[in-house]
Amino acid sequence: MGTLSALLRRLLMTLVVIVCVSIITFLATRLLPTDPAALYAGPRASAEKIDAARLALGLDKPLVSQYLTFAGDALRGDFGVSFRTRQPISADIARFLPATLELIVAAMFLALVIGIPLGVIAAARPEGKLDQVLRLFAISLASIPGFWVAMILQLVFFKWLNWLPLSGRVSTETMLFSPIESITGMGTVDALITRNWVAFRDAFAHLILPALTLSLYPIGLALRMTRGAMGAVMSERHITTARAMGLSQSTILFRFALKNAIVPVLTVLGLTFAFSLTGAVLVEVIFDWPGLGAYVTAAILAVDFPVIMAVTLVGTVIYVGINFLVDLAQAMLDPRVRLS
Amino acid sequence: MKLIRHLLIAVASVLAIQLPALAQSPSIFTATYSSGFIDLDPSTAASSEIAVLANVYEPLVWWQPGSDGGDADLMPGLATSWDVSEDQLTWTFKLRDGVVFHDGTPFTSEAVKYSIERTQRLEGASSWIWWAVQSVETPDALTAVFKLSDPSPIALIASSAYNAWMVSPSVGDKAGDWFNAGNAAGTGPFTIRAYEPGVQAILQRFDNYWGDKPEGGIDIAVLDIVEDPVLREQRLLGGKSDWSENLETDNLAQIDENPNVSVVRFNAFQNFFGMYNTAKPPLDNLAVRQALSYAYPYDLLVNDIMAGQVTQARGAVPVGMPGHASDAMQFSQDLDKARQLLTDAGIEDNSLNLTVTYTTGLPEPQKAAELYKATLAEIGVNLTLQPMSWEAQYEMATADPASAQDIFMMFWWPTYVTSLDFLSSLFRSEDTINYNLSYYQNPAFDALVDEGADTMATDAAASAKSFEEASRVLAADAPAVFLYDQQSVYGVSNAIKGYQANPAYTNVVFLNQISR
Repeated sequence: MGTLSALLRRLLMTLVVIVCVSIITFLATRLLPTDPAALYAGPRASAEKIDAARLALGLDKPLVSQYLTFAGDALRGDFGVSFRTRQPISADIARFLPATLELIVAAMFLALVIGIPLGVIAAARPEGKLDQVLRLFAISLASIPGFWVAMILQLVFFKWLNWLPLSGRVSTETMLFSPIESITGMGTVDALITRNWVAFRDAFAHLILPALTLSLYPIGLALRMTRGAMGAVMSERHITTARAMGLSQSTILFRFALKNAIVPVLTVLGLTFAFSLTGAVLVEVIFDWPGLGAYVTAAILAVDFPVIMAVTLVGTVIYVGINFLVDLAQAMLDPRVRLS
Repeated sequence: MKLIRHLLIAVASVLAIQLPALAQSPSIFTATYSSGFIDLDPSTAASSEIAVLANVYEPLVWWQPGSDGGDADLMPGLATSWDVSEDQLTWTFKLRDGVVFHDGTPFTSEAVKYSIERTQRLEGASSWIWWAVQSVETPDALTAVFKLSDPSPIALIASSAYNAWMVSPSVGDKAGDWFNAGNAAGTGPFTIRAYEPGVQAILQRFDNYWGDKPEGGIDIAVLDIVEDPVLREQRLLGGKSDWSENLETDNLAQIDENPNVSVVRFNAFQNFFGMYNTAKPPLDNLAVRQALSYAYPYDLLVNDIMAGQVTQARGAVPVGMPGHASDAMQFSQDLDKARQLLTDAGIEDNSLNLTVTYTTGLPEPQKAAELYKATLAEIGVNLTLQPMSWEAQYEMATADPASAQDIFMMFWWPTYVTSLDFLSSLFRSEDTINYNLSYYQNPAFDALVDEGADTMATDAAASAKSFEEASRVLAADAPAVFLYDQQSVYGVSNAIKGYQANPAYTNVVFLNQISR
């Protein structure tokens, strides 16, 4: 089977998954024991207003045609209007998604630069003291609840030391006197592009604690994954050869061994990235980070189902998309991996 | 390793550099709200967004709570005086001179006409308050005349927190989208500088405001939306916020201990009660209603479940509102009396099965209903709890009283400050069921309510007297178990001076009254 047809087949599967998820989300929201028309019409609405809302929302039409309308609009990037905020949902997502992405990218960056080197160090002397300490460290990171760590970090770095801001994306002063011009929607990136240094410092300081909280699990994961993969590679013959040639330990570890060990680590981190889209919810609420997680939490509490549907769908597309890219990257990095 | 070291250095240097001192620092006030603003269109907004609107727009008339034992009163807003004709069908408002909208348009009678007509045209949730207004005439620039189809207390209605703001005619045909994009066209002391839905609104002082700025008044106000209660508290205690609403009840005492912050409480015009079904046995019998009202453990509800953040209700009208009768019948728990009343009514022990409906999603009704079930069990009455969505609860109540619930629990609050909204909307006889979900019918009570309504526009004191009498009659007849009157509780920084809440405008901080 050719690579191209395998690629197409894989792409087709991805599309099928997205369609299935959209159908399930659509049906789930229709099965809720609340009348969407009454929700849309608002509190203490008259019967006429609720009927008018039912017509406006097309809820009087058969389910299949309702779904087709929903899917058609969604394809054009139109998710309708939020019941709660009365804002177009696409615009809301465009505003909130970059904030979440900024947070996740920062967290993943931390996972890469902290987790992987520590994993390599742990693998240098298997079962040594350092290895055991790092194992404990990794397991702790992966198992401590994020919301607890978040509050401890706030307590220490805001309340006691007053080094870092408590919450939000920028301070009031920055917002008022050196506002960030929105280009990508990611505060630190936009400040960097527009060379707004005051705002960059401020946005960066605001990013540290939430990113750190969100990175704990991926750091632990990257550490363990790297350590595991390195363990296998280190006992292979080309490493023994490198040793025999008298190469330094760090050259062997980082130059030769890590190169072979990194593929599965990147794969897992890629999937964690997609997973963090939903995992960021708690972190966003605790740090008042105006991202997708905080947005969808408020929507769920208010049974604002157009928003719930839209966010689920966007999340699915990103998740499946990243999955696909990870597969692709694997195939490119490691010729042994076949797409089929 | 090198990478990590570089990274640490980078972080350290970022932290070390402080923000440059601002050359001329304006006075900033930061408030934290628990839920986002939804609709910033002053003609249709019906919810928490009045926190913004009451500072950006002004009404013709403000409602002022009574202070130091004085009566509540109407105060001039954009109107300096008003008059009603003998037949109560013509209201004449003299307007304030020298007022301009934020866009420079002068405020005249044309603006009044435009604002009222826009509100009527857009049919927002509270636009019905103007139902009696047939036309607004503009004999001269500073006189607006309201022509009515029926007598209606227009001056009081003009003080409504919802759908009574004056808007610049320059808005033209623009709809809600324009306002929700952060635009505004009011006469208020503040303008909207930036608005991000669900995140924050930044208001800035309007330099051409007709009124004065208080000594040390603030220049910029940031209204942040923070949904997490712990974070709201942290921001307040950490000095990142000067004012916050909706703090965790359990933490209030601790917050109050902080030397920089005070917890303040105000009456709120919202109450919570359970309406008895007076249209069918056994609650058509006064003795049974009294028994059930004597059974409720009010102290437990008020002091333990609500942690003393509410006050036990006395009748249907909340405390602090004209028409509230401070000597109306108030039940307290007396289980022996309750048992006796049931026996006298010929009801055998354990033979009474009742249902209570309440809205899901809020913790208070759930707790209040569970408490009721537990105490009623002690006097041999079985109460079935039926939590439902509001729509379902309301639909069941309005379909057929004979097969409806026995007790209907709900919150109630008025659109504009009038006890009529409690007495008439909830308990006056109805031909078709609307909100009288007790299905209560009492001609003597109806007459008193009508008497109060008739004199509302011409003689506020006489009207309040009639409403008080109606409240007394109602409380004694127990068509509902009146549970508690809500209080508004806020955490406020001690650096802020002059802060006063006004229960007619829920959760509004009047920015031109405070200073640092």
